[in-house]
Amino acid sequence: MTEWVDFTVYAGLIVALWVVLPAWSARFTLRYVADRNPEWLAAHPEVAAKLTDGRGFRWAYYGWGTVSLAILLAFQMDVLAPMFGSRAPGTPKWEVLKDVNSILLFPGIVLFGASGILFTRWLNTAVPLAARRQATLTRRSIDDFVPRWIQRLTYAFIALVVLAWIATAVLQWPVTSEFWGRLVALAALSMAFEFFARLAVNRPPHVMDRMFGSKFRVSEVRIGFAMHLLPPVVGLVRLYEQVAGTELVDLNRAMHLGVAMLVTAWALRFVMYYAAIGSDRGSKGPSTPIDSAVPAR
Amino acid sequence: MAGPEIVVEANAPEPVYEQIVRQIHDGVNSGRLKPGTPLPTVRQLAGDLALNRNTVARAYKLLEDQGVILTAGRKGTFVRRGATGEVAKVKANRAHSAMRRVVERLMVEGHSREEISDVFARALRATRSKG
Repeated sequence: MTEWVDFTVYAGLIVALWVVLPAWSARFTLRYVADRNPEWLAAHPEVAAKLTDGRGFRWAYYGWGTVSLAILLAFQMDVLAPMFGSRAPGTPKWEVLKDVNSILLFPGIVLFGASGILFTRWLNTAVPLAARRQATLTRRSIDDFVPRWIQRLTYAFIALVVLAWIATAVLQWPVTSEFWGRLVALAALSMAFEFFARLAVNRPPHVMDRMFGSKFRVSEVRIGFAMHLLPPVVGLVRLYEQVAGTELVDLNRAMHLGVAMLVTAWALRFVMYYAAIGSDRGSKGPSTPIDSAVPAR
Repeated sequence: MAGPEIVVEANAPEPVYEQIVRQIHDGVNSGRLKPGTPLPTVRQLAGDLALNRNTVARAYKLLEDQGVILTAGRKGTFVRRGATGEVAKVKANRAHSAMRRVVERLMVEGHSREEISDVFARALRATRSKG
C-alpha cells in the first residue's frame, strides 16, 4: 500500500481537528453556556458576542493545522529526514509518517485540552446552574440501545478468543515472547471498551443530547459497543501470527490508520449533526430555551 | 424509549424532593407511569437533574413509604402494582389533614359545628361558580 494513503488519512485528521472543528467551535461553545443557563446567556449579550468571536483562538488552530500539514508533506516528499526513533535504518516510511503525525498532534491536543479546562472552569464559576431542570423518568440500560442477543454474541466471541489464547499456552504451542503481553492487552482493551459503552449509557444528558436528540446517545453507545469487536478480531490475527510465526497483515499500520480515521469521523460527526439541526431550525424556528438564548448569526 | 418528563425548579417554594414526589404521583394518576414501569436509579435521576443524591433518595423513600414504588434491590425501582390506589389514599389523607387543621382552627375561634358546616358549603358553592 502506497504511503500516500497514510499521508491522506493523517492529513484528513489534521484538517478535521485543527480547521473544521475550530471553525464550528463558537456555535458549540454558545450552546454549552445556553444549556447551563439560557436566561443568564440572554441577559449577558456581551458574553455571547465575545464567545462568538474567538478569532484569536481559531486562527491559532488554523495556523497549527497549516504548519502540521506542511511538515507532514515535507516528510512524505522526503524533503525532511526522519528524526528521533524513526532514524533507525530500515524504518518503513509509513511508520515515519505515523510518528511525525503523533508528534504534531501533541501541541494541538495540549492547546485544546488547556482551552477546554479553562472554559469549563469559567463556565462553572461564572454561569450559575439554571433553576429549572428536566429529565425523563426512564431508566437507561444498555439493553435499550444494543439488543441482548448481540451483546451475548459479542461477549461469547471475546470469551472464545481469550480461551483460544489460553489454550495455546496450555497446549504449549511455540509462541513469541510477546504472547502474554498481547493477551493482557486484549483483555484490558475489551474491559476498557465495556466500561466506555456503559459510561455512554449512564452518563447524565448534556448539551449534545439536548441539541441532537436521543439519536446522539444511541449512536454513541452503539459505536462504543461495536468497538468491542476490535480486540478479539485483532486478537485472532495476532494469535495466528504467534502460532504460525508469520505476519498475516500489516496490523500495526492498519490499526494506526483505523484509529486516525475513527477520530476524524468522530470530529466530523459533530459538524454533520449540527449542520442537520441548523437546516431544520431554519424552517421551524427556535424550539428550546437554548435556541432562544443563542443569538442568531 | 422516552418516558414522562420530570421538571424541577430549584428556586420554587416547594422543596425539590416534594416536586419529584408530586410529579410521580401525577404520572401514576394519569397512567403514564403504569404498574411495573422501571424508574431511573437514584444515581441516574440525581445526575440527570444535577441534584444531590440525598434529595432524590428522600423522594424515593417517601414514595416507597407511601406504597407507590418498590425497590427490588439490584433489579431497581419500579412503580408498584396498585400504585394508583395508594396515590389516591395519599391525596385523600392530605386533604383530610388540611381540612382538620382548618376545622380545628375555626373551633378554637369559637365557631360551632353548624357554622363551620355552613361556611364549608358556601365556600364550595363559591369555587363551583368560579369554575
